[in-house]
Amino acid sequence: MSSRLISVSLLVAVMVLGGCAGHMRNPPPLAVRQSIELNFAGQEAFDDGDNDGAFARYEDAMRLSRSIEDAEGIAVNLINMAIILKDSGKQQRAVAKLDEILKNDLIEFPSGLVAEAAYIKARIYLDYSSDRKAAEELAQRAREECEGCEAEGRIFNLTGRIAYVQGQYNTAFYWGQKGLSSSRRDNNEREAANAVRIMADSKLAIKEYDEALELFGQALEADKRLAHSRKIMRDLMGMGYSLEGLKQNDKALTFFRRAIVIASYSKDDKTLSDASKAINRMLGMQ
Amino acid sequence: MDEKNSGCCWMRHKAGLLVILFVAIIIAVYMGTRSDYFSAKTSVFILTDNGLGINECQPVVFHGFRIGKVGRITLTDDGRVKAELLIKNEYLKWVRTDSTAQLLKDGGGVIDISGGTPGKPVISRAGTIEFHLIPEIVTGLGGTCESGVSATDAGPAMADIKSDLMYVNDPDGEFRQSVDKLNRLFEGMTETRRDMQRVLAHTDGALMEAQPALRKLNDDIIPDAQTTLGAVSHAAARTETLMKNLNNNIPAILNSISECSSVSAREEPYGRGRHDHKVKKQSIIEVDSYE
Repeated sequence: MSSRLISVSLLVAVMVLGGCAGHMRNPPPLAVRQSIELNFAGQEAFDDGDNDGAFARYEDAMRLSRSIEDAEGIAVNLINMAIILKDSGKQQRAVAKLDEILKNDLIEFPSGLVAEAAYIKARIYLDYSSDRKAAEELAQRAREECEGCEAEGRIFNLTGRIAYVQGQYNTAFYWGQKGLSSSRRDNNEREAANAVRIMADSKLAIKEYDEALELFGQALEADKRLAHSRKIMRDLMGMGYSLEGLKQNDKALTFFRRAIVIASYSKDDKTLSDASKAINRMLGMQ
Repeated sequence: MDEKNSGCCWMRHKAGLLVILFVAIIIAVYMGTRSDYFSAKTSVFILTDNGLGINECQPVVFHGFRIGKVGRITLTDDGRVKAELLIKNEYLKWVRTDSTAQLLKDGGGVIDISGGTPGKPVISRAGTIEFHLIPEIVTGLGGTCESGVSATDAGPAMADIKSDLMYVNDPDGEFRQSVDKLNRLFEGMTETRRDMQRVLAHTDGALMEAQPALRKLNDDIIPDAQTTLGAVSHAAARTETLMKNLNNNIPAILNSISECSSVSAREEPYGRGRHDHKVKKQSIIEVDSYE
């Protein structure tokens, strides 16, 4: 009897231990761990607003990764360096960093990271150059490399924005829908709100004001939860334009005024200007 | 009649108690031998401001070879952590006055002693050696699992535990065979007891009839019992050690399991954002698609 009891107890112990057996891997080598630590230090510096410090750490992490040909480490840190350069106004240098991934023929980088690099480069082209064709091609490459990766929602959204700025509103709406689907699947509320806003912009552009109003309202709810000031202003303006299109000027004025209040507190001159123009137009004061 | 029955039962209980005591002594001696309790050791000490990661019974190694273990860990009056290292006397010659100790968290949870300068004197009893704490990422179960002391404690013990589990559960192994023999022995004793009871129930010629049974008990069963108990105690001693190991390590293992299960649920091809420190993969700054 006692032997049976021992055997059962030990069997349970083995089953419990076995649950963790799949995770019993050897720890990564020292160089990899140091690279990871530098990456995290870079992240912390970036979060603290210290872009120079973050860049230096990412660069060190990238160098360490290069010394051991850790493809993932190289790509991750190159992308982070490119993002910091982009935000600092150094788009050309940012593109050069991304090309080390996109135009590399020596190392095989993980496809998810190649997709990420293509996505960032597409954004740079969209935001800082007039070459929409290049942006479109880069977005296509990002989609091809991604295929269900974590960045899929963002890539679809960016594709939608690129289509929108080229006046392809139905295409933009289509990609917005795909972006919404992917973002919801990944529980990414921010990108889901972006997708809804892209769809709303598209509906507004083709004068489907009812749907645009509904979609801007959904985006506004999400952006208020996420407390993103500029997007809240965009949504309010969108709702104002939609209501103006529906000839509901009184309600439209309310939204423009709300946008002005937020713009004045967040010192967004462009929105301030746009909202003021809209109000003046509606009040007949040109 | 009743008195004879109760006397016989009492004899049986007494014999049983003696057997249990005998087995317990054997187990204690076996456990002590396995855990080097009886081997001569010398205490040396390390002092550190941060004793995190140092645990009692943690191995002490020299060039990767186990030379002792961590004994008591106490706090000094000035708030420093003082850990006792029990070094086996035969290996004390490798520990010199300028030897240093460091906690290796990588792949284990061991105190690693450096040899020191040849020619320097061997450290004396109760001597103190310098201790370095290297702040590395704690890795243990799961490789990417940052789980501190519990992971490093669980790591080396699990190999022993698995070995012991295999030993105990092997149907052809010593332990299971010994337990089977013991079961057969007790069955024999039970049958004999029944015989004796039937015999003792008859007053006429009772002693004459009981004699063969008593002779059988004395000549056959007791010697068999002694032989079997010798084998069983050896096997049972390993089981005791196993249970002791389990008792010491299950809390640590369970902590690591909960860490591992939560890690596996979050595992991604690469990390995202600034809040994924527990995943311990490099993270990318996420760029909004709209702003």
